[in-house]
Order: sequence, then structure tokens, then C-alpha cells
Amino acid sequence: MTRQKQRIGNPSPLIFHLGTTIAAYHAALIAGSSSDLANFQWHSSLTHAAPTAPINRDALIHEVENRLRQVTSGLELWQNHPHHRTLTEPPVVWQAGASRLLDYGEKTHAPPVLVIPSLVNKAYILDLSEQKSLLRDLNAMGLRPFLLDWGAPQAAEQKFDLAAYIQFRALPALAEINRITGRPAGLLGYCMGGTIAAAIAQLSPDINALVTIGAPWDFSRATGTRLMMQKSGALNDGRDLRTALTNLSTTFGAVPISFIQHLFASINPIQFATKFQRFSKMDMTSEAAKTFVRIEDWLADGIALSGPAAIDLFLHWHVQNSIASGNWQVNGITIDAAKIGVPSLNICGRKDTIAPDHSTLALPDRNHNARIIRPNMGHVGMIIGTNAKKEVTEPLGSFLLEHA
Amino acid sequence: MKQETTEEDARKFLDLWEENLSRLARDDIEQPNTEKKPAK
Repeated sequence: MTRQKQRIGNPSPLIFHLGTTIAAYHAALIAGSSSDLANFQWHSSLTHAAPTAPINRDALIHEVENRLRQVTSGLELWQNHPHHRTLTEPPVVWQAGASRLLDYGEKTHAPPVLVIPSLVNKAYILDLSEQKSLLRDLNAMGLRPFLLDWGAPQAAEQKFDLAAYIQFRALPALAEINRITGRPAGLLGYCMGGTIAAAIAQLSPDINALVTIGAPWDFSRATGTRLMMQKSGALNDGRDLRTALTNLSTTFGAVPISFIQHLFASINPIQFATKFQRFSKMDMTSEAAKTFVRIEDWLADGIALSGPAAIDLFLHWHVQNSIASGNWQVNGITIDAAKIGVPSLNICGRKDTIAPDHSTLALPDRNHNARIIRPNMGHVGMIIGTNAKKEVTEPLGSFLLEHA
Repeated sequence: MKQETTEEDARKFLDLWEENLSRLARDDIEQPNTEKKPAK
């Protein structure tokens, strides 16, 4: 009951999603019934498909009503769906501040792997269900995954930038794994956790291999709304963005997840409408519907980001491209993928819109020890998609075992 | 028959409109293959 209540008002920011949906279909009504239809803004790849004659206005209104009904129906079906993730957590073997290290290794003599997720989404996407669990699959392959769950920033982490998270959370977690197992560990990072893992691979002598999945590295080729956000963030030398993030984190203790989710939603504002329409047509008892529910629950369950870490992520990384420009330092050392000395495997999804492949491919391009896999998948699909186990988990597990 | 065509036109147009907004937001133009190293 408590968990069902948590879905009401989600996905966050709901007012943005609903407002964007209405604005999008309102614009469609105006454009579709206009005699000037071909001159509305069409993406260059779709201009050839734009209708040359107006669409019947009554039919258009009827179809827009259908779609809006499907959106709200899908939204309510998700909000009230009885399914919930029920997996129990493995033992916590280490803790510092809000961060914990979870031991997914029933096979205690298996080669250890430190698994690093993103800081802004919960770590359990890597252990979503019995059937879709990267961590349990790696354990079944003969590895001992240790998951670093960053946790929501508490008093101890409120002043942490990303370098501090590495210095005071990730590196001590790695040292603990080395102490428990008595051997070097493999490193596996997902999303910005992959970028962090690459920095650790350069800094630490206690690892034997690096794997990244969807890890952004070069932000210089942003397009669409992402480029627009990048340009607005660069105004006044980034001072306005820095002030805004500082004020947000001062007011709320950390940069709220609704702010971060708004940025994610801006990457493709119509996605909310189309995905809840699709969901409204699913059999609610099907495994596909349950998977949708689990993923939406996870997306709605993000983590606030400490102010300095948010400034690193949104201003230094995204706007100023500090990593690829050689301006990101951790412990006084400039992070440079060319200095990663361990065998590396970088998995860069061809359909990844969160960390596009022109950004993720920059990491192996600079790291001379890198191999690349390019699955035809999106950012989340690489973890829980239908072919993720075969095309992502198994190759990376074999790679880590090979270099253990 | 004409009614069905009109409804189908509306559906196709809205499908196209959604795809258009999605591509405009992402500016999703097919990128050339930049792969330099062989996949494992």
C-alpha cells in the first residue's frame, strides 16, 4: 500500500510530462488541419513524409482524444498495478556514510568485481528481478560481484564532488574488496558509474580489468534539446548554472531528483506519451507489463545529487566537457583514458540516447587497451533488454574471467 | 470507406508527428560508423 502511494504523482515531474503531452497534440491539431502543413517544422529526415494536404479536423480531434485517453489510462494502470519488485538484498559487507557495498557472491572464491552504478538512479537496475539481474547472472558465470550502492547524499556527502565520491567511497570500497578476497578486482561501471570506473582504473593499482556500459566521455557533439541545454548552461561562463545548482542544493540539502528527471525528460519530451499509450494496450498480467512496471518504478525512484557533484556532472562534464578536454582531476591527477593500464572492454549501445555512442566511443578511442562491443540497444536495454544477457552480460563476464 | 481513410490518415499523421517531435528533440540523424577497433 505504501509503495503504491509512491507512484501517485509520478513519473516526476508529472506536470511537465502532462503539459508537454497536451502541448504536443495541440500543436498537431493546429498543424494537421492547416493548409500550410508542409511548412511546419519537420526533421530533415522526415520532410519527404510530411503530408501535402490538410488532415480532416474531426478525425484528427477524435484520434488525439483517443491518444490522450490511452496516456491517462496507461498512467493509471501503472500507478495502480499490483506488481512490485520483491527481490531481497544480499549481505552488506561495508558501509561509509550513505554508501554500502553489497556482496552478490555466493561463490566466495570466485574472482571479485566492483560494480559501480550511476549516482542519480538507484543501483537495483542491475538486479531488477530474478530473470533480469546482471549481478546474479555474473555470479552464475563464476564471478563475485560487489555492488557499490552510493545511496542518497546525507550530511556526510552534501559537500562531495565526484572526486570526493571516488576518494572517500569508491576507492575505500575497492580496498575492502581487496581485503575480503585477498586479490585484485575487476571493475564494472554503468552509465556515469562507468566514467567513474574508468577514472578509478587509471588511479588504482588494485584492479585487473575495466568494463564500462554506456559510459559517457566526450560531450562535444550534443544535439537537439541536449545542445540547447548545453548552450544555456554555458551562458555567463557557466556562472548562472553553478549558482542555480548551488542554490538548489543549499535549499533542499541536495539537487532534487525532480530537477534531474526534468533534464532526462527533456531529451525526448514525447516519450512519456508514447510509452504510456503502449502500456495501456498491454495485457496487465503479462511479463512484458510487469517489466514495464519495474522499469518505471526504477525510473521514478531516482536519487538526489549533492551540489558539488551536480556541478561536476552538469557544468564541468556536460557543458565544459572537462573529461575529454583533460580538465577533470581526481586526487590532483588529471583523468586521461590513455593512462588506463588494464585490459578494458567498453560497451557502447548504438541506440543509447542517454549516453550516445559518439560520447561513449570517445573512451575506447583514447584508451589503447580497449575493446569495443556495440550492441544495437538503448541505455537501459543493455542491462535488462531481451538480448542483454547474450550480447552484453555474457561477453563482459567472459572478459572479466579471462583477465581475473 | 471514405470515413476509414480519414481516420487512418489521422492516425498516420499523429504517428509521424510523434516521431517528428522525438527526432527534433534528439536531432537523431544517423551518424556514420565511427568504430575504429574490432568488437571482441
